[in-house]
Amino acid sequence: MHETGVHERALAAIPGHDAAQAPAHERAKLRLQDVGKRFETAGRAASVAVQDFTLDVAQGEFLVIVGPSGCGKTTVLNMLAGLERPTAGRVTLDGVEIAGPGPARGVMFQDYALFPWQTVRGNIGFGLRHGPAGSALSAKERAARVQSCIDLVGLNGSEDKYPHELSGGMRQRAALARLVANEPEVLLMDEPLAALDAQTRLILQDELLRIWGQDRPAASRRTVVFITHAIDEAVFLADRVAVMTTHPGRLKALIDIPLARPRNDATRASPEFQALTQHIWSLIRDEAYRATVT
Amino acid sequence: MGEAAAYADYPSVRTRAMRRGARSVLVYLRTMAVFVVVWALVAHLKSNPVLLPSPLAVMQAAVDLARDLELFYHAWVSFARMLVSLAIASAIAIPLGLAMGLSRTFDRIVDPTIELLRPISGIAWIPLALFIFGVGNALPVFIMTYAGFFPILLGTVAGVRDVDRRLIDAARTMGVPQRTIVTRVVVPAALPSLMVALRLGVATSWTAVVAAELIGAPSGLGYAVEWYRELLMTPQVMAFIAMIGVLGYVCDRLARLLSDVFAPWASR
Amino acid sequence: MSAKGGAVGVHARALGLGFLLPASILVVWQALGMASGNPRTPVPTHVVSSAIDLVASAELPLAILQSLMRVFAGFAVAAAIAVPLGLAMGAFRSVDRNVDPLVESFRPIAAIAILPLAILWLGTGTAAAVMIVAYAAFFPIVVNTVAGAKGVNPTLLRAASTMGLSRLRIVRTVIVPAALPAIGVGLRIGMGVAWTAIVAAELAVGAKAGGGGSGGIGQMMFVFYAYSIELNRIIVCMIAVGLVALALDRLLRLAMRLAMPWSAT
Repeated sequence: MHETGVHERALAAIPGHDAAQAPAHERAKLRLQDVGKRFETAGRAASVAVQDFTLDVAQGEFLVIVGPSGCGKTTVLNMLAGLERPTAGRVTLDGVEIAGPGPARGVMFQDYALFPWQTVRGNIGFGLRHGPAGSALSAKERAARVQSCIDLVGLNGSEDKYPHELSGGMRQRAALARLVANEPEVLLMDEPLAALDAQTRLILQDELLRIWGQDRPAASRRTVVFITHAIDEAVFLADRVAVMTTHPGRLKALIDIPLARPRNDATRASPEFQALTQHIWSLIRDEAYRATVT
Repeated sequence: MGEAAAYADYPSVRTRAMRRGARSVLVYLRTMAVFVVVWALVAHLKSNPVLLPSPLAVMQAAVDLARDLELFYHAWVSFARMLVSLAIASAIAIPLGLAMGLSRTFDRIVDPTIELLRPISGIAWIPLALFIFGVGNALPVFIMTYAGFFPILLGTVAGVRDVDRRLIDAARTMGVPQRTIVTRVVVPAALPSLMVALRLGVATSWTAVVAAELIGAPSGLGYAVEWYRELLMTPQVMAFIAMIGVLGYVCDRLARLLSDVFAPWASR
Repeated sequence: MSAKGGAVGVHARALGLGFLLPASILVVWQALGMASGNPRTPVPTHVVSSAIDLVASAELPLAILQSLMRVFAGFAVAAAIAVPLGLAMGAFRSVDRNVDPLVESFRPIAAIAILPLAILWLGTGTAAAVMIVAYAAFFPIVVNTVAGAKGVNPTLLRAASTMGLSRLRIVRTVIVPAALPAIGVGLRIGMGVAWTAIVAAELAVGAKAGGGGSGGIGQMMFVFYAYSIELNRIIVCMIAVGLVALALDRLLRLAMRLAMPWSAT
């Protein structure tokens, strides 16, 4: 297909997607070691958001973190992004400690954080124009990259619209294109589908896997850390699901999702899918229940 | 083309909108007609053209004043003074507000002084300013600049502070440098709030101009109103008061237009 | 413990920074004023002694009191008309459609602009001043009340009407309470505008009607300008105008908080 072709060209430019290297999925791309995060509020007892959190994310892996609201999922993601620093332990990318935000780790925010004064095209090209991602590119190359990302997410025809003129699903696509345009090695996604209606959500789950490259060999995929509170979404997308619990936020279980790729509607209907969903739900049910009555 | 075609598909949408617009104009005219009739009746009963001239006399006065351009001359003088004042006020308040919004330390140094001055209305400065500047152009410009300064400053500071944290985070995660974040994220994000502030500034300085001109200027709408009051030419007084209202409305519309041009994304 | 000490330290430093600029302005002003050699030039020390004189002789407190009485009278008139009218406009479309053109046509006319008319009709005394204040305070109150009454969550209205309440009863039980915070904001803005308007009106009356006694702080300032050229005293009056504005705003805020504990403003 035309779109896939464009995407492969975009991917080929990313460092770390070289098939000649050792089997990519076996190397730890991101590593969280005994990570803790306390928030100090003046005049109140410090609250512990995350504690003793240890997790490796392999190159090319699609890792999903699920857990009830308030379990510190977003804090973990923010530490990976470099937007927050851990108060204990280490967070590393390729063995190098993460000291701040950087273009190698792209973030997709929960309500997308699209710049309201920029059109779709302006948003997608923002990082290329003002950040290091596009500093080596000519204006023409930048425009070509932006166009390929527009094609990739299927926003043709809406390039010159402002975010407030877009539907929720289109905004989500624009944010995804902006993320991919900077060609980060790691994609960090904070509940990117939470604000969408159920049907749009299913469609965009499929799209997300296509763009991630689920029908290509694991070595040419990007590393994704994806946060959600929807268990079925986690099972459908993930290679592994990390289940978190609250007070303090800890890693409760790491569950392999052996469902075959590419995944599609048949996957959702399969008994294995149902069983995995049930299993994860059983892990967090008690806590989720308690959260609704306290 | 596309839009025209869409309208062609749904002709009722367009006609309905037009009908609604026409109806609201009609309601407006009806209300104002009732007002004018009541006014004419009261004027007729009072039959004192100095205290309450008839609507017709005021209309006649307005036409005469417009014909020898006196109405427009004073309106232009007041309007030009407001433009100059707002330009000066913005030139000081916007950079100051940006710096205060961005730097906590700078804010701590400057803010108490601002808060000490702010409750003193521009009008309260008139006697002192009269002594310093005398009667002339400088007095109304000073008073209006002072009056317009505070809303613009506070709006800029609030706009900068209220910038959605995640927009800045988004730019940071793309590796955009700090300075570029200020010019490309903070400034545009604060622009809608700045535009609202500018509109407020227009309103407050327009109120101040009339007071300043009434007391200490040899020209302008405020001066004209007072001049004709002393001559007991009430129709002319009312014509100029109406002009103050019309121009105040036009200024507000212009400020809104400015907002639509510079921050089109802010209007819903 | 240590965190608390740190917080106090930060607070103290912030306060110190805040004093820096006003203090240095005062020092520079004093130095320049003394260097100018003209005894008329106002300097902070003379402003302070003038303030003591004006307060001790009861001139300033009496002038402020007179202005305040006019503000309260005009404000009461404005609120008594604007709040019911605003509620009616917000609750009933027909009232809104018919009255709104009138409100919107007069709103851009600054209160001070109608001062000549007020003088013509009511003379240079308290009545004209009250009229100006009422006119000035009327618009912020009515506009905010309409916005508050119209901004009521429509689901609440529908919920009330499904319970079989009459329209009038809905106004009383749903629209009024829901609009109260907005009315409060309107009253606060209206009070600020009213105070500015009274100073302007008294100044203008002082300027145009001569010394002839309508009094109030605005006219007092003008007398200091026009007849005795006492700049120190003018500055005392300016500071008093600012302090009263601040006190009125704080007072209204406090009243709103006490009257509406559920509202954040």
